Amino acid sequence: MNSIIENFQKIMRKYKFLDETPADIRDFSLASSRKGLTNILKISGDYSFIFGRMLFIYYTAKKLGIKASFLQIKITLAIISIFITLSAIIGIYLFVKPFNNSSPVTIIDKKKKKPEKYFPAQTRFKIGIEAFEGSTNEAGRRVTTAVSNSLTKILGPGSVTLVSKKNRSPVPKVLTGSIRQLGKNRYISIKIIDVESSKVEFAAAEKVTSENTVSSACFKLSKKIADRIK
Amino acid sequence: MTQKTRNKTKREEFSQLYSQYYPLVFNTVYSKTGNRDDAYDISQEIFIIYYEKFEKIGDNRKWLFGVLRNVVLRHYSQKSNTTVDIDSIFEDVSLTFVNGFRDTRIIIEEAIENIEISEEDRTILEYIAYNNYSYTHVGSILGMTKRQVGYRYLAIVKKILEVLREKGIQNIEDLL
Repeated sequence: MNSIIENFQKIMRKYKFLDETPADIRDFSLASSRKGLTNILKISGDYSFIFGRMLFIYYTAKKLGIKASFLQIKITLAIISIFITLSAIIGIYLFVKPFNNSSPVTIIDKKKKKPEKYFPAQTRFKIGIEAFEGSTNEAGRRVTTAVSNSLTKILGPGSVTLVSKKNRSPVPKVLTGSIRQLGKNRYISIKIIDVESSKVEFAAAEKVTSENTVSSACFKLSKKIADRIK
Repeated sequence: MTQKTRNKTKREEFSQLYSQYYPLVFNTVYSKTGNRDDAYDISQEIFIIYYEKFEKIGDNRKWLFGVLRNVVLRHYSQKSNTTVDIDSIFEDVSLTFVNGFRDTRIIIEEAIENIEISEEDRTILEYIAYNNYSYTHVGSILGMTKRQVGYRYLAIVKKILEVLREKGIQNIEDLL
C-alpha cells in the first residue's frame, strides 16, 4: 500500500505537480489561520467575543484531529461555561465559609418580622408569674393574684400569664417572689428572671405594714416591674 | 430565518470553508509572491471578497484560485509601474516539458481532474500531492486523525491510478 503512495508522490514530483511549501511557511499558514479569520469577521462586523471562543475550540479540536460542527462547539462551550460558573461559585463558597459559618447567601425580607430566638411566634405574653411563696399558701396566693391583676392593668390584657417552675418556655421573663415575715413587718420581694440567660434582671422588695397595705404594695411593685419590662 | 440567524449561519459556514482552504490559498500566493507578509495580505483580500460571495459559489476551489490569479496580478501592478505578464507568473509548467513528458503530464492532470471525489478529498489531494503536507498537518487542517487522512489519500490515489489504467497506463512504474 505504501509503495503505491510513494510511487504516486514520485510521479507528482517528476511531472512537477509538486510545489513544495517551505516548512516555516507551512507552519505560518497554519498558525495565522485563526487570526486571519478573526480579522475578516471583525472587518465584516460579524465577530463577537463568544464566537471568538467558539473559534478557539474549533481550531483546538481540529488540531487534535476532531472535526466538530459549530452546534457541537456551542454545546461544548455551554458545558464549559456551566462548569466554570459552578467552580467559581464553589470556590467563592469555600473561600467565604471560614469567615462566616452561616449560609453565604441570606435573603432578608424587611417586611417580615424577625423571629424571636427562643419563643414561638404565637407567644404574646411579656412575663410569666410563678406562684409567690408565703408564710401560708393563702398569703402567697393572695399576693400572686394581686400582682397578676395589677400587671394586667398596667401592661394590658394578654401580656401576663401564670407559669410553673417546670415550664417557663412560653414567656421571655418570669416573675418569682415571696411574702415573708421579718420582725414586726412583712416584706414582699420579687425577682425578674430572664429565661434565655437564666439571670436575675431585676429585684425589688416592698414593706407591708398591715393587711390593708398588701394591695397597694403589690401595685407599687407591679409598677416597678412594668417599668422594667416595657 | 431572521437576518441575525442568517448572519450567524453564514459566519459558521464561512469559518469552516476558510479553515479548509486558507493554507492552500496562502501557500499558492506565497509561491507566486515569495514574500510571507504579502502572501498574508493577499490571502486576506481574497477571503474578504469570498466572504461576501461564497453562498452563491458552486465550486469554491475553482472560484478561490480564479480570484487569486486576479488579486496577485493586481498586487504586482500596484507594486511596480511596469506591465506584468500574468502568464509569466502563472506559467504552466507543462509547457516546459518535451519528448513526451508534456503529453504524459496532461494525461495525469486529466486523470486527477476527472476523478469523482468530494471537495474535501480534493483538498486532501492538493495538500499532500501538490504541497507535500504530511498526514498530520492535513489532519490538523481538516479535523482528522493521521490514520484517517492516510486512508482517504490512499483511496484517492487508487482512483487516479484506475483512471490512468483506463487511459492505457497499466503500470504506474512505467511513468517513473
